[in-house]
Amino acid sequence: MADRLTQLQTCVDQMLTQYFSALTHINTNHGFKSLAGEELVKDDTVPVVTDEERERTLEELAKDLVVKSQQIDYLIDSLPGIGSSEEHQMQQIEKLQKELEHYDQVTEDVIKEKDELLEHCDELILKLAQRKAHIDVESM
Amino acid sequence: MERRKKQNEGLLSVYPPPPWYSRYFTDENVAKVKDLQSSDNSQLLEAPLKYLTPPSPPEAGAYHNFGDVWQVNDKLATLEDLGITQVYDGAAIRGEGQESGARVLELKKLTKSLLLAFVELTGIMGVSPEQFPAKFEHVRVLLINIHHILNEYRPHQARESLVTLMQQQINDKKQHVENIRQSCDKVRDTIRVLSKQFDQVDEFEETGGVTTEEVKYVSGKDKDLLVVKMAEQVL
Repeated sequence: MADRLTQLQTCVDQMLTQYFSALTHINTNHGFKSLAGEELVKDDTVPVVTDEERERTLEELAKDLVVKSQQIDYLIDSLPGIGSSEEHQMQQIEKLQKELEHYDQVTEDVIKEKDELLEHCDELILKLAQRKAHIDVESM
Repeated sequence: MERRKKQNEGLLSVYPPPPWYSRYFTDENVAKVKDLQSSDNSQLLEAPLKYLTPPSPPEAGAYHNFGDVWQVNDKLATLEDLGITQVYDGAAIRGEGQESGARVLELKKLTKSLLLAFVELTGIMGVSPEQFPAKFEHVRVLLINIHHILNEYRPHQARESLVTLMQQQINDKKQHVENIRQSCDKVRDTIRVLSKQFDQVDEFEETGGVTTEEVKYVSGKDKDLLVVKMAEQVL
């Protein structure tokens, strides 16, 4: 997933594309009006759209733009770390760095402990096996 | 002059020949340079010997790469540098402003202005289309401002991502340690149970009688078998 900033920038670019398509749509799907009693112009290259239809698409276009704007607003609100200053971030990173080092040490210790325990287990199993072998010989 | 001509030839051929200074890399010259450098006389290198040592990297300015111009010191150019009017309050979002969320406010102002500018543009297109360039310029400036304010924020986001990643790493490590500890405890418990049973059997052997319920009816060499069986059970 892209990070928030890239998402936001993509959204802004998408909105721009919507602006463009909206204008293009209005430009190509409009009706004609007669001016000052002149005869109505006819143009076969322009598709005929009823007033209702035009209103509907306009509303749809507007709604899409609003939705997009809301998306952008939402993304702005969820920008990461909007509430923390650079200084605070650096302090946090330093703190986490120390914590990480601490846990590295702890991990090392625990692994050492585990290895020792494993060795102990080996000894015990060996002891048991010897005892069993002893019994097997005796019971034969 | 001659050198320049040769460079041009290099640019024109399909597969460029080695750079012109490569012919100075003779065994003799290489040895000489090594000698001079070891005797701390590297400052005194003269042509053609100075072609053998790489120049120090540039510290400022710009360079060309893959058909683009790149700044040596990689930084975000300010809007002023780009010749774009900055419409947001730059001082408010820096320093103190980062904590109070001033950037959010400025961004929202910008997006609202953008929407308004578009509506105005649509209106202008309907009434007097020839006046659109001015409004169009508004939209352009607003968009560049939005992108710029977001790009300015990138280092901040990078630090924030780093914090998140580190926290995740710490959690992973914690989990890892916890898992190992649990397994260790389990093994230790098993050993404890086993050795307790061993002790019981040994006690049984010593007293030669009944000690516990478990080993009540076991006698003689069977007791060792019992230990083995117990061990198998527990394991």
